[in-house]
Amino acid sequence: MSNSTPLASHALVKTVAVFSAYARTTNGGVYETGKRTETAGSLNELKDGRLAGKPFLFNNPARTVVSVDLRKEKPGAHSHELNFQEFMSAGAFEDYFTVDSTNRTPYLTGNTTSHGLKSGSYLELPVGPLQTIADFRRSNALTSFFLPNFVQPVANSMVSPLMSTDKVSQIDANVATYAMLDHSVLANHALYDRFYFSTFATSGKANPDTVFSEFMAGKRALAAQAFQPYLPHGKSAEEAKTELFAAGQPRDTAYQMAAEYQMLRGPFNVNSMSVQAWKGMLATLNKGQLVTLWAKSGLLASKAATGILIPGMSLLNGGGSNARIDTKNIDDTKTNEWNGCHELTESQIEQLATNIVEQVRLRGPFLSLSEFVNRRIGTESEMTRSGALETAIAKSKVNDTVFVSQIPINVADVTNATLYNYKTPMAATGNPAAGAPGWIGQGDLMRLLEPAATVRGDTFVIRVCGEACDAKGVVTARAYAEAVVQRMPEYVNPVDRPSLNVYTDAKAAPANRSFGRRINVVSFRWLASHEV
Amino acid sequence: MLIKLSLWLITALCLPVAGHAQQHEAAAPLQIRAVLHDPVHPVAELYLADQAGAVVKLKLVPEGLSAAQTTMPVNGSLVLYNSATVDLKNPGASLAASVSVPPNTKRAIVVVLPGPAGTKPAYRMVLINDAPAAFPKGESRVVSLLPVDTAIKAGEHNLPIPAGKIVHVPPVKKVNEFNLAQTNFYYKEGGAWVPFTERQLQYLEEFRRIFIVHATPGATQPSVTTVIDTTPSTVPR
Repeated sequence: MSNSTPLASHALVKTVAVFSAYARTTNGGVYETGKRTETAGSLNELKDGRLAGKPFLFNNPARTVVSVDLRKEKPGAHSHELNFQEFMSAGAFEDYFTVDSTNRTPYLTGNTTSHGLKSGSYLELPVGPLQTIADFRRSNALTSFFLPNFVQPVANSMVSPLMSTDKVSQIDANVATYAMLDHSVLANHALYDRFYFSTFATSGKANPDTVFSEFMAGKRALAAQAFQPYLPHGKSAEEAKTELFAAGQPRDTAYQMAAEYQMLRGPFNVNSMSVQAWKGMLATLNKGQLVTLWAKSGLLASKAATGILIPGMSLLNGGGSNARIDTKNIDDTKTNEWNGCHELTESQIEQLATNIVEQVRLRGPFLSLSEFVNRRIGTESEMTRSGALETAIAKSKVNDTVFVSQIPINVADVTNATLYNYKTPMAATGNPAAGAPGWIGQGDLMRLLEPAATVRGDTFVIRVCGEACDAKGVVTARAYAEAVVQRMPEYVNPVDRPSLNVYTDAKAAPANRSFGRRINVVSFRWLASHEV
Repeated sequence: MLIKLSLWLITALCLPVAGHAQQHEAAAPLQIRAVLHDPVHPVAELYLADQAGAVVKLKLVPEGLSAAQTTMPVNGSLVLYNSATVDLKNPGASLAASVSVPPNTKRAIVVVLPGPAGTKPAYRMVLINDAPAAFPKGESRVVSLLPVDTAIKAGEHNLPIPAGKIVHVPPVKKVNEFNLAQTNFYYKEGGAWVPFTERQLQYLEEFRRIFIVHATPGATQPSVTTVIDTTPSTVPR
């Protein structure tokens, strides 16, 4: 038979090899010996993939287009592995295609039954309404099919191993034919300090306009309970409603004006150096209700946590890290770990808060939330590889107790220039499970801090001293006073709406450009000299 | 699961791979087809005596069972050599493997395995009776090289696989419209059976399979290597 003979005419057609394209796994680069280095005398197989990496952070397979230029691009930069695997025997193809009785195949953590998960959450469509910018973190928002393949750019801060820490836009012909962008830095810079979620949104059977009216009347708390109603001087709630809504739904311009009617209750200054204050914020969900949409059974259930919850998703597909699992709901303990929620102890929260304060001292004061969330741009260091919270998480070792079966990645594992050619290989090191829902990352903490997080207060205590002097300059009378003042949404000249950016709008009143927003005196009292 | 104990050791202990011939019957020809199961060194040159007594190469093929060859057992044992030149006065010097052939065995599938490092002979063999009545088409065999008990679920069959034993798997009848049936292998961990490989295999009346349950050197998990015999009774033209 010649090469042109159709397969159908061959008497004994045999499968000799497979060409595969599959998403990277956390066990990629780990040999069957459980090591990332070859062992003499062993087979040194890489059935879970040949490339080491952190697929939950830097190898996003969930994109509209996946293109790999095998001639020019490095395999380690991509979300998928392309492999040509020769079979060792006529039946070997049966040894490669793993599938269970419910037609599930292993993925995410490995391609084999022993290492792969058969139900695991990689991304989510956040359950609404969105309350924080960090809700986008595992939603695939602001990712793209351009390198680097960020998975969770929003609210997180780690530099991609493909890029240098002193760049947010970088051209490297060895990696890509276009300029690579640090999606994380740019997304955070674009979103934080500029946008928020009002949560004037459908709630049960109530339309957004009803939610708004009841909120303004003090009859309803919003999904984001940090907000309280505020009605600018001269406005009625009905006028505001008409301005924002039509036929029950928000007008196209509503997003530009909604903030005029909300104020923040209990803002938290992230420049705080109080460990206690940080503990308070981080422990918001102490023994909170953990709502789970179980990965296997599809049942929705709620259970009180025994520790301090740091949920990785708005609706998890696994239970708490301390909970016993029911195999009707989820395959096994390992699968629960990858889908569930990491519960922390009080001492872990204390350690985390302490490390955050240390980072605030090192990096602060932060002048914007973007600065707080993002890494520094500069020569490679701890501060340029990740943001303050991410670094504090790493230093507090709160993730050291989870995903312990994973084989850590060292710099030596990703130094093969043919495969990786990383600019910042340190970013690819550590536990490959980083970014999984059960792994606490910076975005998960931002989810707790927002929308209350701020970098400065709007309320100030002003103390003054007044003196009366005689003709010789001798003080004849002295008085002390204290005023509490609050910066309000309105400008000093009400001709401009609070939603107007007077610094960029040429039509803005000059007084507003000079003095900004109105300061209201909330309280005033005279002070006795012993109070000073 | 950590298979710490060398799989080769258990092979030597449990399977019918005895290195010395115990039978002293009248020599009868034996037709064999062989498969080399040595994942680390998948190529080997082995020889055997043909029916006329000439030492010829065992025609191993990398993709599975070799074509049938006929040999004459030596003192009731199938003998493989590591050289085409065998010193008749000292054949042991060239011995690569030997295994006693059960009485009345006319056809056999031979699974050739490497022995423990540094030992002689270098290979061990597992014999599976290849007579149509003993191993009918549609059936499967599981050869366990592990020192621990495992189990197989193939369609409607749930069978334990004792350490180092050969298990007969009857034809699988509970298949879907594509003749596929779930086939899982399990080991025991903390009292629970944990699957270490899951696949959906096509079971046809013309197929036979040999599942070799093993652990490669240094591996932390067991594996299954499938040898599939799809040789039709009559080659279609």
